[in-house]
Amino acid sequence: MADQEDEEVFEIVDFTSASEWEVFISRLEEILLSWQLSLKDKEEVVTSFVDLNGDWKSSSEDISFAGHPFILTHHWVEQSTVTNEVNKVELVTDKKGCQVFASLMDNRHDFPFNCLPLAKYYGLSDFVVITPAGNEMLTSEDRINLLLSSITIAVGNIQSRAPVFVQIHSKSQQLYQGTFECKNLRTDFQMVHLKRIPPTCKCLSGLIELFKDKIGSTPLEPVDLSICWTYSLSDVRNGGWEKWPQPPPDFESMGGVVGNAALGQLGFGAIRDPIKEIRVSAVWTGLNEDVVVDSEVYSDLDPVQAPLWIARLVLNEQVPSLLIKSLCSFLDLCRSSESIEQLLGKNYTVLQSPDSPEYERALGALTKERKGYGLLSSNRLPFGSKKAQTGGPIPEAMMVNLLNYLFPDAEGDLESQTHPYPEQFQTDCSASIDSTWKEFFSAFKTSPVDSLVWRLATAAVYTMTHLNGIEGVAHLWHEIVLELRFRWEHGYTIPGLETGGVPDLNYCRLYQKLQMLNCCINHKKAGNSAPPVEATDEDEFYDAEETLESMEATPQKERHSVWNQPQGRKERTKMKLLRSGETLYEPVTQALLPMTEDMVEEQSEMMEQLGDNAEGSELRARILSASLLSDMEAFKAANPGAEMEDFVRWHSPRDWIEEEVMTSDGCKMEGRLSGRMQAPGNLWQEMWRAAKPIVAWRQKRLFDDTKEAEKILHTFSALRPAQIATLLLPTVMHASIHRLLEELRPNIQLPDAVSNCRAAIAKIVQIARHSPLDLQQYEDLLPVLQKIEVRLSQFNSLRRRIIDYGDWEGIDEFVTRLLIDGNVSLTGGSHSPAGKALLKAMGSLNKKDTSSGLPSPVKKEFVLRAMAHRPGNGSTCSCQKLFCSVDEDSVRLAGAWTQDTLFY
Amino acid sequence: MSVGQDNRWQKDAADQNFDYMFKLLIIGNSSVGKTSFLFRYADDSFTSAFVSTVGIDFKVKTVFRQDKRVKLQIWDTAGQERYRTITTAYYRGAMGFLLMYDITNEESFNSVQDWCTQIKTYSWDNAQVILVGNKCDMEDERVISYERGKQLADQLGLEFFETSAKENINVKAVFERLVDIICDKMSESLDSDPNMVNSSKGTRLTDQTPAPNAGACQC
Repeated sequence: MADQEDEEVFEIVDFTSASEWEVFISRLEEILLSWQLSLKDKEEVVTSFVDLNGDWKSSSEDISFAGHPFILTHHWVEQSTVTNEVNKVELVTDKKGCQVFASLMDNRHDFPFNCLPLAKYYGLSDFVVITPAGNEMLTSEDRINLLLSSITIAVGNIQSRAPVFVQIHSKSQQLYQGTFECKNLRTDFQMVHLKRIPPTCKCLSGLIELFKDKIGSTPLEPVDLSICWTYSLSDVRNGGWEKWPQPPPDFESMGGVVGNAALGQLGFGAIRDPIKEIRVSAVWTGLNEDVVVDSEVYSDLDPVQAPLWIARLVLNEQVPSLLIKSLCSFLDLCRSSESIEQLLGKNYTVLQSPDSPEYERALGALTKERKGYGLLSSNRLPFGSKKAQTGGPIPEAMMVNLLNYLFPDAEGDLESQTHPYPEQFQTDCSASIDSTWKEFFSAFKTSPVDSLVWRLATAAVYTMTHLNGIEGVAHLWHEIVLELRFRWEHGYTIPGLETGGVPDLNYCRLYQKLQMLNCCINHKKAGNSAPPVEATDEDEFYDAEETLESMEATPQKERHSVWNQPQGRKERTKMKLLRSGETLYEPVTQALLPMTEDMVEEQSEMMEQLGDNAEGSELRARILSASLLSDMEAFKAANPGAEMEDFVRWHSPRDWIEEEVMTSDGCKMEGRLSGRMQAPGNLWQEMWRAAKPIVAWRQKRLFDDTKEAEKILHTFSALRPAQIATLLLPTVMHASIHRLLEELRPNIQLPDAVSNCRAAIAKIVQIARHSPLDLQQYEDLLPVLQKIEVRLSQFNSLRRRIIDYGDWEGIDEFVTRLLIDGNVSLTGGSHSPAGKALLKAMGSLNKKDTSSGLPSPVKKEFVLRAMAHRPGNGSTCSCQKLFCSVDEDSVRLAGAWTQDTLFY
Repeated sequence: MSVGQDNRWQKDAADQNFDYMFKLLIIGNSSVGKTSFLFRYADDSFTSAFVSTVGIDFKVKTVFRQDKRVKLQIWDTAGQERYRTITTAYYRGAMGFLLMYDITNEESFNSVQDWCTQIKTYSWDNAQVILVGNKCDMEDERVISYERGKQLADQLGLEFFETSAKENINVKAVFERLVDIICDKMSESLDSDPNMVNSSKGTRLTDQTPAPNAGACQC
């Protein structure tokens, strides 16, 4: 039963089906209504002036006409700042309340620079466009007319408050026809674009004639005129503006003697000129046809005298820049897979092994030739001798430069160094950077500015970019490892590191390793020299006061037996040994093993593995007790006959509890070990019993400098260039942002660059802490850095150009506004400070002199307006407008012609 | 050290069921009661005679906080000067500190400022610190009033508790508070430093909870 019903329903035929254009019209109305463009139900609020350079919005719907797909798009300006000034367009009082007519007649809408073409031609801030979808084009006159008349019906039916346009011919031509209807007035929007320029369109007088001709009746008042003549300051043919923002480095010519300045500084700046052109427009508004003459033979219009100039900036898109380019290649380096041996060949790397006879020979040679430190010249020897056979990737002279930059002390004492390290490293930022950035710089886990690692980073970037790429880096690192080994073996401190004694875990791991190596070198130097001067028993005899006292107190000084001589005394304390009453001496103790971050991690991992039970706890204590035992032994050696109580009083004073005890003789201080030290079988007691009196320098070493140094050097020599680069990457990033900030001078107000810098710094600070580092995160930073670099080079380039033609107080502000807003209005035209500079610049461009001293304009734009009765004299007076743009090879005329649909 | 290591590994591997792991550090002068405090919290036991800590030791406790299992790895440090280099090496990576003094010992209180400087120098700048005045059961021997402790804490911008490991006063509260402020800080600055969560071991917070105001904090 139910099935039968269904079948019946399917057979219903819709005999009311409409024709294609009816379907189109109803769909069009539906969309326009959904966009709330109908004025049927509400009164329109007219805003006198809308900034057409403002925030354009759009929404689109699909629509089709007889199977041809179209896209219907509504464009409008988001009116955030409505300026409710006195309405200048009093002319349309009779048709008050129509935004379109108000917009058409408002000369403040003339010559916007940053909006859709239609908005520019007609001064409209709200309109709908129908464009053929896909590659279709509307070319046939019939079709265009059919479409337009359909639209006219729809627009009339719903009383649309926005005109509707149809895009015709090819899209790039920006040709439209449109229609609008309001209160019995219909406006037709028509447009022509001609490749051949008719003589009438070239000057104002011809255009006025054309305009009046088109209106057909005499306008009520003289034709209102707005004129804009635009000049271009870009002309590459004239050469004057073809200046590089920064001279491109000429690497070929530099050969082996690149100035070291380039080494210390990362490259900066755009490779091509980021500024395409500056356009200067001379603008006249509010003229009328009676006061100005501009014909083919004579013109009243002198741009130099124009009341308003507008400067506009056209930028070159996608300009490559030096810093980003080198960072990109550095990231490539981080991803490479070759080892140094693969890159340099065995001949190089074999020399690195200290066992190799060649290495011995090389070292032998260098000791002979050494002047001062002279490490560099000697270290190059292995290369010097091999060069003939294999040829190093970095030329010898260049390598010396690089090594001198990294290890300046090899050049001799401070005065003779080309690039000495700063006396004190600055962790925050250097003097060349605005101090407001300081707070951001404290948290970088990289290396101090201009330290060895910093220089290594910049040198590696330099090598990667300018010196044979990855082979160059391999070569450089190889040399550095040789240098470091030489320094370790011969006891020369590594320069360019903070001298804190222990690795500073606030810096990157490479920096810590180098600090550690320095610890080894210093420890070895100290260990090889004689034991430190001790505070001896005999000291007491020279100490007058003490001597008297002690002589009286212990007239018969106990002499230690030969086998029990005190040794390794560092400093006497005020305490006395409990049993013998002798002075308690602080012993010379062993240096503890300094630790780098990875060593701490290793240790803590090992300790974690022992578990958190009592057993594990005891094992940990035993592992860590090596230094306690060493201290105890040293203490015993320095204080023969000492008790554990004596040791505790020195080592852990809080475990020695002194109390007043009442005795028969009165109050007396009595001390005892704390409960935890007294506990039977505790580790401290156990160790005290086991400790033998051994002076620190005879004990087993807690810090084996040779083992640690060899470990580091071995790790270093086994690193692949990619691993080296990865170790340096955080510092490279730090140096990059540092470089950018150097360019961002404090007086420059470039909000986007500043906020990008902040974001980049925050990100670098964050990712520099991650270990192992994630290359992708660094790569993700490049676009931000690029934005900063490009913006700063744009600023520099623009400023440098302008300043050639005039320097005034507000130049930075002018340049900044031109960059950020894209345009600057110069009231007073050529008489404003910026106008003067621009005028001078244009004058210099102008080789073939004309009367005004300016080159010929690249574009002339005219807007003509009038109120007139159309079509007949009895019709309502309505607004008529013609926009005309003439450039070198074409002319565009866009007219809006309004006529009365009721009285004609 | 190598004996039984394999077993421990397995046990450790079985212990992986937690959402976050926080590394905490207890620091302060020698014999202010750091080890007792930790044992009270982790094992709920108290002896007055723990061995003076040699170097550094740790205990683990898993707690539930806001529906999350948080594994606390609490490192107990030696207070003696001689161990400074060893202990400060562990500051980096710690997400929270209990800075402890002994209310019966003026010197330990006077050192608080020093310890604070140590934290600033060696730790991550987003590490959270709570000031703890321990041994508050020993009222008779008290030399540092609650007010002095509180005042110093305010001055240093730290939270403050008086505790007693012996009488089990506020021990749990201190740890819970520390875990809470670390959690808060973490969700605040999640975007700016995901490394705060031990990503190699724990699950990231991102996978678990939406960040309330991610990236808002510049810390």
